[in-house]
Amino acid sequence: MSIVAIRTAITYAVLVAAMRIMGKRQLGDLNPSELVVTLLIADTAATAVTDTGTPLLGGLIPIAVLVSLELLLSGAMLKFPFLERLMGGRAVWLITDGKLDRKAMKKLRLTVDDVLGTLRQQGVFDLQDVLYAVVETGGQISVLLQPHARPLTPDDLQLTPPEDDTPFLVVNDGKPVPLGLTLSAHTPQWLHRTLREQNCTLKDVFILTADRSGHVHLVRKEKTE
Amino acid sequence: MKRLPIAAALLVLTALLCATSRLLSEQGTAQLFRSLVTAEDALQQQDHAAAVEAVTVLCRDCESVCRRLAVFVPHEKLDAIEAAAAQLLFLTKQNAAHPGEALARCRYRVQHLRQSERLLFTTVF
Repeated sequence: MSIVAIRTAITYAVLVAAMRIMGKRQLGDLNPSELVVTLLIADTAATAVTDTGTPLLGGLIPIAVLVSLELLLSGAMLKFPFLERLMGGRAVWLITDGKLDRKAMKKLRLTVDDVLGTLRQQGVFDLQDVLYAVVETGGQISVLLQPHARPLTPDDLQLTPPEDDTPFLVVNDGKPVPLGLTLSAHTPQWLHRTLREQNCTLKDVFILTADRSGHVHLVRKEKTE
Repeated sequence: MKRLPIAAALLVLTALLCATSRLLSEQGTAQLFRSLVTAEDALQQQDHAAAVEAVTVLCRDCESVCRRLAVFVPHEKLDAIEAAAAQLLFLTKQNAAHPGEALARCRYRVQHLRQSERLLFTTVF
């Protein structure tokens, strides 16, 4: 039993490293080759963990090879666009000006119900409201609405909204966050001064956020502001 | 593009591991074949004490080779070799008539191990 536990821990560490090396693409929408690699890695890892008759290397080597091939392939796809088309296919235009392309639907083996269902999930209930709908290489459908059906934007009303001043996390659970300080254009001296003004120390702070204009929001650990 | 060197390094590491496995397997099986030939000769000469000693050496070699290869080769293959050698030793100690069948089994297992590392393409496909 302890053998399985140790093998699991090692495989877990290797898998986490593999996912980190492969990057964020593996965590979001996958194209066909990425999906295949992810499934294969999952299956190989399961075997490496449970099949104690096979050396652990026998499970880790396939993972290393799959990760390498995936990285090399994605690098090659950046350099040679035809490879990307070959491995991931192309985006397919499904609806143009409210009209369904039946040829494209047949090619993608999509029924009208599938398309309408996906549109409804995106908040579109009338086909006529769609200017373009495109099936992306990852299988999602992107929709551009007709001008009359699009939500109003400040541009439509010729308004100039004030710029957003995003608050950044400056102290997290009693510890200063250097990146937050930099992004909010403040210095550690400013932080100490602000804390003094608020009559508290770093240790008392649960969360402190600040924006570039100097607005501060403080949450103390004792749940009292 | 920083990831490409990592991919290349992983592939090189994999190739190195495969080469190490191949080398250890080649060395190990060569050692076992030498011990097998010695045991075979001793058995043919009908000298019981020499035969027992040669087969004991074979068993010890099997054990050490299997220990060296355990990281690379499935355990059941190694277990089969050790079991065949142990059976040969048992039969030899019992002073059975020439234990040809057990010897052949032992030789076959070692041969099998060598082939699975050597005959890359036939083993892959």
